[in-house]
Order: sequence, then structure tokens, then C-alpha cells
Amino acid sequence: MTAPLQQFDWKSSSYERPGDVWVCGKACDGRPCRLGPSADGECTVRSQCEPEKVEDRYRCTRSVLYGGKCADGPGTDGTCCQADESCQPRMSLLKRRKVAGAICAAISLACCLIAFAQSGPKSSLSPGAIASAHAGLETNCAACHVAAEPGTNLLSTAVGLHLSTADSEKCLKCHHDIGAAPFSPHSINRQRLAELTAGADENPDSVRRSSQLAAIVGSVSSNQELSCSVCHQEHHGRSFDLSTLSDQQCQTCHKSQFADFTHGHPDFEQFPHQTRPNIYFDHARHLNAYFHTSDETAHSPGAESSTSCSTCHHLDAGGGMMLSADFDRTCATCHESQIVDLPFPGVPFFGLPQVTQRPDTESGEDSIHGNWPVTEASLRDMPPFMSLLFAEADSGTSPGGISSAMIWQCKQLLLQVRRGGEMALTERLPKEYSWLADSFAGMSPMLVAASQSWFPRLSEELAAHATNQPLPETAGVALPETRAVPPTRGWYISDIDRTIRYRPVSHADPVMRGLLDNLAPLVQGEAVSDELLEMYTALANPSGSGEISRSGPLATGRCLSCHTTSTDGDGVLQVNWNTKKPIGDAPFTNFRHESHTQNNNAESCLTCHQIQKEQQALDFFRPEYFTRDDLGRWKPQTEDACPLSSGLSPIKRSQCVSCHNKSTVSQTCLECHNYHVHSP
Amino acid sequence: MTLFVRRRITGATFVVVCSLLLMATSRTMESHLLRPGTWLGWLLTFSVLFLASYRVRKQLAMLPLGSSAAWLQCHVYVGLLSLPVFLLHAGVQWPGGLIETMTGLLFLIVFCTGVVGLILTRMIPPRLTGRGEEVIRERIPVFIRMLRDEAEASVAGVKDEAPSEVLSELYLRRLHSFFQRPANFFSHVIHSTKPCTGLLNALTDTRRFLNARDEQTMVHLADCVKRKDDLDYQYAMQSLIKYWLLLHVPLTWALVVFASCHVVIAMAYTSQ
Repeated sequence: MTAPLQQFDWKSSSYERPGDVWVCGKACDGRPCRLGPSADGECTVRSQCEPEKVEDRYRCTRSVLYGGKCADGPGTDGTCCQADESCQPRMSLLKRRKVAGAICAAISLACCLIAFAQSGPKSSLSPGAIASAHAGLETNCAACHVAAEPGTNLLSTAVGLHLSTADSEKCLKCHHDIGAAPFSPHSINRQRLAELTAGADENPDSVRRSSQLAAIVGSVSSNQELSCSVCHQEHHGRSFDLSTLSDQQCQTCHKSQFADFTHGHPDFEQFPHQTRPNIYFDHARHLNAYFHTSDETAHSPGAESSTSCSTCHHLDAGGGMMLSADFDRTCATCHESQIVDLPFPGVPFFGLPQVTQRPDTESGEDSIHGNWPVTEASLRDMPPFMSLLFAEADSGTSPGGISSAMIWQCKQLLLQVRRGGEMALTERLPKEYSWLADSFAGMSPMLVAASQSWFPRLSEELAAHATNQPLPETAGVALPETRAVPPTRGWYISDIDRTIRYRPVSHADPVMRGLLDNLAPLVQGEAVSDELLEMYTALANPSGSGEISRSGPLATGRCLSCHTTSTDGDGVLQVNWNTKKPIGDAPFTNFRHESHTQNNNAESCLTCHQIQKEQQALDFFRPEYFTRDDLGRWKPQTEDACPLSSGLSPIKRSQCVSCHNKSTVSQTCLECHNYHVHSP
Repeated sequence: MTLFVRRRITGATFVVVCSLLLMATSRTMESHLLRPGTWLGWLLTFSVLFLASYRVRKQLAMLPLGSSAAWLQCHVYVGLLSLPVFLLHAGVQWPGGLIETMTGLLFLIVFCTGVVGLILTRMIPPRLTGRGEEVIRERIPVFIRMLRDEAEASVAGVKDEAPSEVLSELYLRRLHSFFQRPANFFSHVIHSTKPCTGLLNALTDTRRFLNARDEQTMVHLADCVKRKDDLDYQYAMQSLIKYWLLLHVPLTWALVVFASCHVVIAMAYTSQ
């Protein structure tokens, strides 16, 4: 049996020191010295000595530690006779590891310092390629990062001495249309956000456990400023979609959270009828009562019925919104004639009302008010505009007519208009109503003509009245006949009731539009004068009798029969003249009609926009559209009480779910909702 | 179940459970618009520093910082856990830029060398006990020299007897270099016995030319060759256990440097 090589007795087994940094140079040859090298890596073997010269001879001085004095002794020249057995110690594995570690660390540090000190584009610091939309900025780190700006201390920036949204401020240099509050959730201000939050239903059962888990490590709060990078994280490659967010991410801040669109999404409430449309248009009535009747043109001879939705509606250029065609291409065939409604006498703006106290004379031309050629059809009260002209007079009207004093003032005004034209009217108007002069610019010629016709000796009468002289005789002077003549468009003189009236010239009549635009904001206030209120009521009244205090037959040709009113952002009432509401803010919801319509046929529209089939839909002037005041006059509903349905049933979520569910197409939040609510 | 097996199961369970917890937490944070990357980055940084401090702990043996075995266990399992943390932190996208690339690359290399080291330290010791005499690695050159001296003495022949020319020639031609230093390192790494078998066959082939005395010498030489081959095996295997650290440790310090720069860059350039 072969004897083992390794002995572990105290004498023959040397103590190995693998922790030493140096090993004997002869170890690899299997002949290491017992002492080994020093800690500094020097060989400790002293095989040779330095002979000591004693008198004329050299003497060996080798220590017993190295074998003692050698037998041969030094040479005659003083050299040691022993061979040099010292070695070149080698680094141990441990030492090599340390050296390698130091070299690696040094090289790494040098690389990092070079990268930090690199001037120009610091691509070496980039964690990855940025999205293709931002690719042009890839070489300009300072375009997005404050830390990359020249002179910025990277370490101080790293420890958080910069504002959390400092980098996001740089985003706004290009994305300046985010909104007024770009770092607020949804880019809307705190007040609006609080309103929306307060209005949201909170369902405590809907809060997921994951939300509670996330709350442990912190959560994004709607009360804090959100930097862009909370949602849009860059340096994930060219093809990375920066705007992709999961449903759960979208709901992070929401009070009520749910699984997906199919399960838990709030139902639509009267969508899309929460806000009234700009045009009163009853689809149910038009489609069921007009377009589909056998005698479809009975209501409007010569009218053309609609054959499909595309007759009136078309996609916008972007394919997102469905627009209504203009009046001439849609409504005009039926309603143009109603606007210039010939049987409608027009709105009276000036007239000779009945006299309160008839003078006790046989001729009818008494000495109190002189010539006042009223007829049986004359108005009982002054029209509102005329009342405004005499608002500062001492005596006004009384129920059933006007006083004699007022008659003289009327005559005085007529004479002034005859001499000064429109200026006389403007001066007569109270200053706060001077804007009315623009609307009545065309009335002064009518007044001049009427005064010449009705008061042929007006100046003489007024002169006599001023000097208390007998009034001139008017008997025998020919007055215009009081027969009804077909009224014309625009301003005209109605001799049958001694009035000056205005009838719309056509659709979008500038006078009517100007008056309503100016009156609508004024009548909203509590301090509105009765005259303005009456004037607005007369113009807004869809029953168009031609007399202020009396309702006539319902007429679809009046402005506010079709155009709704609404309040703007400042709460000011305004008339909606355009068919489409201007988009002040990008809505939370986006919908592309183009993606949802097939060949733009009616059936595809009616899939979602279902026509109401209730009998109520056939009632003319539905109660949610118009109401009656105390005098029985029709007036449009106020905005708050009037969520117009346009004769269409509200769209239900179940209709959308039929397509937008897990098994068919996408149902993510971003499929239908916008995050940033801002001007497009 | 032995303590070692129980400990291994416990450690593996710890790694798996922690990985799943980290993954769930990361997903949850992502779904709530929080930044798991930052949180995981700090976790990874401290993990790397803790792993690197194992070497420091060994050098500060005088301090009561726990046993080295316990530290090694923590080093192994925290190291294994660091990979899922890294993957959750960096994602599937490979980073760009010098510092980010180097940080990621170094981490993976250090992790891989650590795993290789772990495998080697688990695989090699049982093999060492199964082949030849277990010797201390630092003493192997001495034992090689002893075997060389013994083999050369055999070939040189006994007193007053001429050495065998056949054996002398063979020794000079093939065995001399074999006995000079540890040989056939890579063959032993891959557990190949081909070099040793070749030498033994060469010795055996000389039998027909040898007389009885020289044949005994040849047998003795063959025994020396086997023992030298066992020493070489011990040397190769023990060197493997030590050499992997030559990659693992130096690259760890490089990783610490790059990771520190990465932290500075990330904190400076990331807007919260």
C-alpha cells in the first residue's frame, strides 16, 4: 500500500497561510522555504552571508537560522561560498484578487468620470432610446432634464434639491396646449376637480385590495402636483407608446373603481342629452309625423322629406363628429317660408296706442291731444321699445291706453325724427340702452313716413300746443286707409293698427339676431326693466301673435322656436345660433362616428340613436322644450330644467357593451376617454 | 431530513416567496402609477452592497457580526433573490448608454459567476473525496516534487545496476514534463482520464522490452503516474473553487462603482 503524501503531525506538517498576500517563489517547484516571504513581498532567505574580516582573514557570519557557519567558509576575496538561494516571491491568489478588484474598480471609475465629464450629448448616461415622437431631442438631454443643463450640480440634483415638476416644465415648452393647470389631474383646476369628485359616486366596496396594498408604499394623490412622467415614461425604446395606460392606472385616483367597462362602469345618465343641443329638433316628430306620413308635404307644400340621416348629417373632416348641414340644405325647404311668415304681422316696435280718456267731442279731434288717428285695431299699450323711448317721461301708459300728455310727447318725438332722423331716436333712448339704436337704424325712415302720413299737420299742431293756441283743424286731411295690406319683409308701416312693425327678412335675420344677442344677457338679471323683458318675451315667443300681450298660433318660424339658449362659462345667457356648440374644453369622452357607422346609412345611426316612440313624442312643443307663462305665452324652458332629448332615446351603456366587451373589441378607459381636458 | 437539506429548502422557499411578493408589489405599484423601479432600484442597490460586504465581514473577523457560515447563507440567498429584483427593476428591455449597459452587464456577470461558484462549491468537494488523497492545495507542488523525485529515483535505478534504457527514454520523452508541475488542468475539469490513460498505456507498452526488475520499476512508475494524476485532479478542482472568485470579486467592485453612478444618474434625471 502506498503511503499517504500528506502528514498532519506537528513536525512534518507546516502551517499553510492562504491569507498571506505573498507566497514563496519556489513554492510552485515544490521547494518552498519554511519562513516564506515577508509581508512586503521580500524573500527572507539569507543563504549567503556577509563575511566578517578579522585581521587578514574573512570569517563566515551565517546565522544558525540559515544553516549556521558553512564548512568551506568565505573565499579569500571575502565572497560567501554559498549560492544565492533567494527567490522572487509571487502574489497569492488573494493578493491577485485584490489587485484585480482594484484595477476593475479603477477602470470603472475612470469610465464613469469620462461619461460624466463628457461634453455635449451625454448619450452614455442615457438609459435607453426615447420614443420616436421625441427622437429629435435624443442628443439634447437638457431639453427634458434640468440635471443636464450646463452648470447644474448633478449630485445636488440627485439628492432632490430641484422641484418635482421642474423637468415637466420643460415638457410644456412643446406641449403648451395641455391646459391651464397642466400638473393637476386631467389638467383642470382644483375647484373643477373638486366639483367633479364630489359628484362622483363613491362605492367603498369597489376599492380593490391592490389599492390598499399600494397605499402601504405610497399612492398618487389627486391633491398633489403630477409630473408628466407619472404617466408618460420615456427611454423605453423607439416604438414605446408613451400614452398607454392600463385601466387600473387610470382609476388610481378615482373614488369609485371598477373592473372594466362591462362590469361596474357607471351607467350613462341621459347620454348624450345632459347638455341641451343648440337647436330644438324633435327627431321623433320629424321622422314619425312628417317624413313618414303619406302626405308628408302637407305641412309645408313643396318641402322635401328626409330620406336618411345623411340628408341632414355628415361627418366632419376628422371623422369624429357628426355635423348638421346648414339651414339652406336642411330646414329651409320646410321652414324658410315660416320664417318669412306672411300671415304673421311682425313684431310691433312703434305704434299709436289707444287713448286712455277719449275727449268729449264729436269730431274726435279734441283740444286735449289733437290729431291721434288710432283705429279699432290699434294696440292698447305701447310696444316695449316705444316704452323705452319714453322711459324718462313723467307720465307713462296706463292699462288700456296712453295719456294725453304722452300723446304730445309722441308727436314731439315724431317731429324730431322727421327733422333729425335716426339721431333723434338715439338721443331719446336711455344711455344704457343706446345699443338698441343699431338695431333700429332702419326704423327711422318708417317713422318719418308714418308721421307724415298719420300727422300731416304735425308741426303746426305742436306749435299751437306749445303756445296754447287753438289746434289746427285736421278734418278733411286724408289719412291712409285702415285696410290690411300684405306686409312686406323688414320694416314696414301697418296702417290697420297704426304701428311700425318688423318682419324677418330671412333666416339669420341680422336685426332679430342682434336684438336677441343683446337682450338675452340683460333679461337674465334681476334688475332688468319691464320693457326689456317684454321685448325679449315678444321676440322669444314662438307663438308670434304680433301682439305683445297675446299669444297667437304657434309658429315654427320664430328664432327661439329652434335656437336654444344656454349660459356660457361666466353664466351669461346667450342664444345658440350655431348648430354645433363650440368646444371650449376637450371633453372627457371621445367618440369617432366614422368608426361606428357603416356606409353612413340610417340603420347604423339608429342602432345607437333610437327614435322615441312614445305618444308624447308627437306632442307639438313638448313640455321639456317650451312652457307657458302666466299670460299663456310660450317661452323656452330654462337650461337647467330642460335636458333636451331631441326626440331620441338616451344611449345606454348596454348598447356599447354589446360591442365593447372582453370578447370583441377593446374596452379600455383610453378607448373612449381623454385624460387631458384642454383646448384642442 | 438533514439540517443541510432543510436549510436549502428554507432558503429556496425564501427566495421564491420573496420573488413572488416583489413581483406582486411591483405590479400593484405600477397599476397605481407608482414607481416600482425606484423602489426596486434602492432594494437592488442595498442588496449589492450587502453582498459585497461579505468580503469585508471576512476581513473583520474580530467583530461580532455573526458567523461566516451564516453570512455565506445570507450571501447565497440574497444573491439569488437579487436576480428577480434586477429583472423587475430593469424590465425586459436591455438598457442603453455606457453606464446603464455596463451596470446591467456587470450585474449579470457577477450573478452568473456567483451561481457558478455556488455550483462549484457544491459539486466539487464530494468529487474531491472520491478520488485520490485529499490534500491541501498549497501543498500539492511539494507532493508533486516528492513524486517526481521518487519517479526519477526509480528510473535512475538502484545502486550498481544500470537503469533501463527503455524506461529512461520514456521518462525523458513523456513523464519528465508530466512530473514537473500540475498538468492536464482542463482535462480534469471535464473529468477526462485520457491523458493519464495514455501515459499508463505507454508504460504498459514497454513491458515486452523489460526484464523482471525493470518491470517492477515500470509498475512503480505507473503508480507514481496515477498518484500524480490524482494530485493534478485535486489541484484542478481546488483551483476551480478558487479561480471563480477571481472573476466574481473584482467584477463586484466594478459593479459597485457603476451601480453608484447609476443611482446618481437615476436620482438626478428622474423627476418624481
